[in-house]
Amino acid sequence: MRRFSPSTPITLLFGAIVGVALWQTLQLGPVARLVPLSVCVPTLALVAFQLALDVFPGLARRFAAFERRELVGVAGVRERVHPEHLLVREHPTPEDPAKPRESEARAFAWMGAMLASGWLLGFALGGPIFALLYVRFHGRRGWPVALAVAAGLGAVIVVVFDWTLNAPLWRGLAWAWLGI
Amino acid sequence: MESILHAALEGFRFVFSWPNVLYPVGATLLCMFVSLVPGIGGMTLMALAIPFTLFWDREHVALLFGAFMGGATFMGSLSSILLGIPGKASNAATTFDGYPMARQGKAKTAIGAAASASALGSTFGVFVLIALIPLLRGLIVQFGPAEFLALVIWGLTTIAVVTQGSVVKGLVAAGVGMLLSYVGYDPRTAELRFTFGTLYLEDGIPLPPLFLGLFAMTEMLDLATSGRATVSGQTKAERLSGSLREGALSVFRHPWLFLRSSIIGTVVGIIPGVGGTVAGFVAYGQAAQSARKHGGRFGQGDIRGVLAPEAANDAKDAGALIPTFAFGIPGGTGTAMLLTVMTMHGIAPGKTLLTDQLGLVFVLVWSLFLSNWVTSLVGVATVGPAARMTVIHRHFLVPIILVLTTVGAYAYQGRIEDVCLTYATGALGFWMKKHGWSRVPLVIALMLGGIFETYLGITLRLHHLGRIDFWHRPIAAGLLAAAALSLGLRWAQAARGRPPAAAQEMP
Amino acid sequence: MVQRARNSAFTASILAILALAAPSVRAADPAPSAPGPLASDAAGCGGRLAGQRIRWIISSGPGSAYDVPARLIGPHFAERLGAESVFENRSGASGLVGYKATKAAVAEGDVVINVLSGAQTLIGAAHGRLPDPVTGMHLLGQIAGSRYVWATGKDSPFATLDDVFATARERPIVFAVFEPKGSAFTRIVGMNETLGLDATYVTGYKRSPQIAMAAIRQEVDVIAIGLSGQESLFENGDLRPLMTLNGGIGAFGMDALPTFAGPDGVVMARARALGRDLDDAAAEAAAITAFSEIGRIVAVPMGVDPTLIPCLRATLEATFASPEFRRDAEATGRPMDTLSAEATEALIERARARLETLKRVADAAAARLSQ
Repeated sequence: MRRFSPSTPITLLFGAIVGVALWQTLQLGPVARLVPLSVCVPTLALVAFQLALDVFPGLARRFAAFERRELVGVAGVRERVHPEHLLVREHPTPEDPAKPRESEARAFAWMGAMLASGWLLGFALGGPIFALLYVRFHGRRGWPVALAVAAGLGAVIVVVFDWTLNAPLWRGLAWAWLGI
Repeated sequence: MESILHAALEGFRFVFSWPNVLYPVGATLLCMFVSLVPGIGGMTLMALAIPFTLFWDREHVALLFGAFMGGATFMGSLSSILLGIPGKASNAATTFDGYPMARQGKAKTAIGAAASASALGSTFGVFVLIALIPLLRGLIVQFGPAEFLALVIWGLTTIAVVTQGSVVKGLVAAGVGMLLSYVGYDPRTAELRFTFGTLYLEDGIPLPPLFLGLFAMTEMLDLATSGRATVSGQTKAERLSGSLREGALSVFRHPWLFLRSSIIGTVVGIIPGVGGTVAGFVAYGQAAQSARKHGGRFGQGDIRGVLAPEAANDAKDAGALIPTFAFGIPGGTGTAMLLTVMTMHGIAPGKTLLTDQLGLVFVLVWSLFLSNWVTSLVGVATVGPAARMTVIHRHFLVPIILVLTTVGAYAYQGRIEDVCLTYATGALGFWMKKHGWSRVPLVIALMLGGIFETYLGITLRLHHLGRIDFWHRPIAAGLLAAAALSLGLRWAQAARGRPPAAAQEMP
Repeated sequence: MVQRARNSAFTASILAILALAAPSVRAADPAPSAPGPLASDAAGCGGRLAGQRIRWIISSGPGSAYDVPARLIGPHFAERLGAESVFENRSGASGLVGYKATKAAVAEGDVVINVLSGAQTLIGAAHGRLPDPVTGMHLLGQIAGSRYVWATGKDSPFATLDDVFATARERPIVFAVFEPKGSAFTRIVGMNETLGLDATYVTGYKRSPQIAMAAIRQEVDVIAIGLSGQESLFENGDLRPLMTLNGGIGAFGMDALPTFAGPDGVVMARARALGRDLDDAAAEAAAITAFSEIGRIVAVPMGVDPTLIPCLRATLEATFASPEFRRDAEATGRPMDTLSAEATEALIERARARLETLKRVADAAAARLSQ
């Protein structure tokens, strides 16, 4: 049974990006399309090849042998170093393999919460509030610590952006809706 | 030459005298403080300072603005190393190896290396500037669009070298990076490309918010999901390995690398309109290409991957002053603003400046030099507290960096779309990192793709019109040969069976 | 322990320097020309804006030729109203980003002034991207003019403009220009069309210094360049001026140069030589000159209380005339070329008279470049 590699979604995403770029490029004038077309076509071919590597394990094994020799040389082949492993090593294996998926969803949820908080309340207020909630409920620290972090962050934002740079910050949609 | 040395000494005496020395030191510290926030740097302070300095005398203006130019760079390097967040685009190359070093608990070593490379790179740039003053004007005229195109091509070839893991994925990422660089107006025909009718994308994808997402957001997401409690994996600062001294002395253990990188930085800084951002990338690439002894561990915490871009980034500051002084042509954004200030104070670049007002030139140069040393020394002095950032628990670090990144992204141009871009690229960068897609080729291609197309177009047009003969440009030919040589070396390494940089075991 | 003590000592000394530096820096900073006795505008604002914040949204980057004049004028302007000026840079999309930010700020209830390129706005309006600067916005005036010069490199074979015309009979003259569809491209193509000059263009340059270097290296024959910021190139003799667009440049030997428009201008001489209708040629020249002279304008978008507009205009005019502002302006070493709202409107109307023609020839030239 063919199994997709975990990186296949990225392959497909990049394929979509390049595909859309190609479609848009073909609608441009000859001068404007020259360089983008020269990039789109080979990149799309490489995406297709990568997708094939993802889908066909036999092909992937043969190509990996080529990449091992090409990348790591004969010595590396002897050591059975696989190119994919080189990058996977960048990320230490989490203690509990089941945990990452859950914590990823949670991490993205918190990221969304920050965006929503800033969007609605403005960055000067939404940012510290987000930090307060994160430290208190995700980090499970006490209220004093969480408040201290939030206050410190708010102070940095005010001092740097408002006092020093006089840069206006996003005010937040909630205040506009409320007419404040 | 005697008058140049005399002017240099006079300038040095002026800058380092009391209380004049307080100007560059104060300005540098202010710049460093402001640069704590990702995306904010010396340029903002320069713009703010312009009306306030209207009635200052020219020497003190030179003191202040020289320091602003140098003040923000090292803070960007600190955040690159400690958190994987480049403070400015030019610091991105330091992230590639600096951050892995921090993750291995060697933040002090990385900071020491960055500090010494930064200070010495700046020194190199200053002395090159002094040596080249009699030759400045002739030099710049020789570097035209063909030469610049060749330099950019060389920079692009570094993609093949620094790509780790799957070559195919690296090239795909590079292709996507180049396509992203073409968003906006075509430089020759003004046709809109890949904007999908949105106003936001008409001027291209803004780089600072994108970098904040691709590095800052990605690293914080990675930290939040990795299971590590801290960046370094240690919870106590005492357990951090690494040595400031070892890092600081590493420049002297790799003298040729330092020299090459500083030369690259100076040359890139000299080229008008480049902006200096490419200096770090090109230097990093050539360092990776030339690494032979012990294979090297580029991308996994090789100290040379910190030395090279740091030396280049600081050497370029002095290099960028060369076209500014010689012709009144800015080498980048900082020098463009400097030029505005100079003109407002009646300082006219060109022959007069380089003959009758040489003392003023050196006030500015030594102020820049002092600023770079101050940032390095402050960095060194604060290495202990700074390295402690790598043992701050993620429950504190993640929200703080997320908030500051969000605010920094908005503060860039005051557009909420920039924040959305930061978050989107943060998510993308996280998934790329998680699944073996290197961000490095994407970043390099993004930086250089647009510049490549612009200068390709100009060069081809001029060649077609018979204004230049592309095939008879020795400097361009030399740069293209360097690009071909570096690619050839890489293949030769593989053919001989010698493992290149990416193949080493991680400790 | 020893290392920690060393680090702490170093850090403390840095902080001490900072503490010492702060008063020195403040002391060295003379108050920027302290605006004169508060003259709250008696022309109609009547204190309505007292205590408020006036946001200046500058459609260009910090330190630019739009930014600097705005930051000089802003404090004086606000002082007259008893208000405070704050500045934001919103560059992009040829001024459209700044304009939209201005509209959003107005919707939030702020008093906001947009600083933008007059010529670029006019072109933008012709393409339907920006509002017309007169009827689509409340024009307040012009805060800085523009002076353009045709030039060539010092080693170029063209000593005078006549050499250029002579060469044009044998081959097209090569110009370096910014991107098509911009105001600079429109101006240069329009000028060449009016002069009957056969020209070809090298586009893709993004900044004036790059164009200047192209001329110095003799990659191109002629450039049309704004004088602001490039004075040193003429002073040093790196660029040789051939013609001024609008005259009035008393420096660098340019007062003796031929000017584009006017009864004795280059356009009229060429029209006679080529047998063109003289009235038509004069009208085109006047329109192009006006288009180029519009410079950096300040305007308020629709949506602001219209009863405020007369007093804002009057306040700006009074600011221009104030001795304090004049002193600051002279200190910059650059002419400020301020104009009232009425005078700026008149310029715009003169340019608009031939705008469609300008746009048409520029678009045709841009289309040829796309082939």
